Amino acid sequence: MVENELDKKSSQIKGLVDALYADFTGQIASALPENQKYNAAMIRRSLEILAAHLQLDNREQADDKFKLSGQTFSSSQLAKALRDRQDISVSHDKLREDLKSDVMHRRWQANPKTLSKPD
Amino acid sequence: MLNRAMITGSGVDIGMTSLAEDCGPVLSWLQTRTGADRLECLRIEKLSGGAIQENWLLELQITGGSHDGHQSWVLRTDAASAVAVSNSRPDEFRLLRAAFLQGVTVPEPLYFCSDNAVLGQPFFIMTAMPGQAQARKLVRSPGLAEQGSELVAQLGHIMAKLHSITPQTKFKTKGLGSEDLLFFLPRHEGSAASFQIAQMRAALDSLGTAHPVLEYSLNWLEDHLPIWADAASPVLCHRDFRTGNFLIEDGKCTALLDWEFAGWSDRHEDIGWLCARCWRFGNEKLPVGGLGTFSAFQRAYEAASGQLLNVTAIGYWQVMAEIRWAVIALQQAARNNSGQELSLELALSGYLVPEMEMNMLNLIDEIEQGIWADLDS
Repeated sequence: MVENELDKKSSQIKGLVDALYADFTGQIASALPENQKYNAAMIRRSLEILAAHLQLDNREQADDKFKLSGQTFSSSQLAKALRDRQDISVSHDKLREDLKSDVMHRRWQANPKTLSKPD
Repeated sequence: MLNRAMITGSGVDIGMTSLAEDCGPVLSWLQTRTGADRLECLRIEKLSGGAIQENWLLELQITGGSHDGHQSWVLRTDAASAVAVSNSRPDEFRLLRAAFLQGVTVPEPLYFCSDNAVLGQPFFIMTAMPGQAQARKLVRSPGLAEQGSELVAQLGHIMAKLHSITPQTKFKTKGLGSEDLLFFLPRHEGSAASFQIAQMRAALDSLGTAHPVLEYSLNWLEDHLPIWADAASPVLCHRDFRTGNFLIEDGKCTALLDWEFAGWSDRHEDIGWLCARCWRFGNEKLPVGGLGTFSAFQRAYEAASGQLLNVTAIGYWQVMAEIRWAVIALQQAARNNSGQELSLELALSGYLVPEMEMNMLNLIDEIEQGIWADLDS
């Protein structure tokens, strides 16, 4: 029951953001004067980022994304391990590959209209 | 004698800020400094750009005194919030003077005002220079194919001239003989490269958020210090020498702007920054700021400076450039997120960071695999 309520709220928020985006890009942005085009582009991009964020499921939002040599690291744990020069028993190539995969996801979240969502 | 009645300020083309609404005190101050009999402000306009500073164009008609005639000047002062590592306005004025006296292509610095009663905060006046600074327009300029090589060669000359300033340089100033204008710039122990790594880590600590890609890249740079860290004496680096921070007119650079980050460093830092992938604005194949080839820049720089560049080191400085821009973008986003200065532009800066992270990881891959050929030399 609680889950359904959350789903409903989440769906409402998504609907609101989508409608706001449609209204803004379809009617408001084009009516703005030239000196407001840059601001309009920023608002549009912000709405795209918000909509993409709302598409993420809980698993994608959780901060336990690095699985290295059987250990799971959150971003903050991995950042600390790297700063402290801890041995995380993984090759540089594998680590860079995992870091790139994380970056690809965040890149998509930042540019959801121009990039396709990575696997 | 100063006569306020003779000063007129018609605030046109203005935003809703105090200077445009009441530029009288600034004009009075300018009349005193120039010794003018009459000073009329024909136009005052806030110029675009500058998250850290505000720039105002002043079109003046001056009668008498040291600058008789029509003058186009720029007033530069702090914006609502400044970045911690940026130079103060008095220091930026000294830097501009040093660069001007050395023959670097910069606006002429004219007057500095430290009296807060005039504007509420310090400001300085410099000559307005013609040209376009908007990076995206510049890299899409139709004339670039013809003028790009000459333009980046000129940038090489300008940078070489700037890098001829060292901590030992004394400047000949009117009436004072020779002066150490840059006494305030901090010196650091060891190489500029290791200093930068420490600075970036300290900046990440201040942010209080986790960035494993940046930590990894800093470790990688640290592990390779013997390859790229230069123990040579530092030179004056602009530290934000990139497309967007110089004015271009008819394919020529008319002025290098925005000196708030300048300091002593390794010459390759400026070159890595200018050639960083994040500053090419989509013109990936033109490594010098999306404007021209590296070989044209390198030839001009080496001829003007008499110094051979360490091209390998530039690759590492490119990685550092991506890290530094990522950190600045995070600091800008934090200014918004903390509520210190609500701004969509600042908030969106944080979303640029994955681009820089991808650039740094790709560069590291290429250097590690021996396939780095980012500069066309």
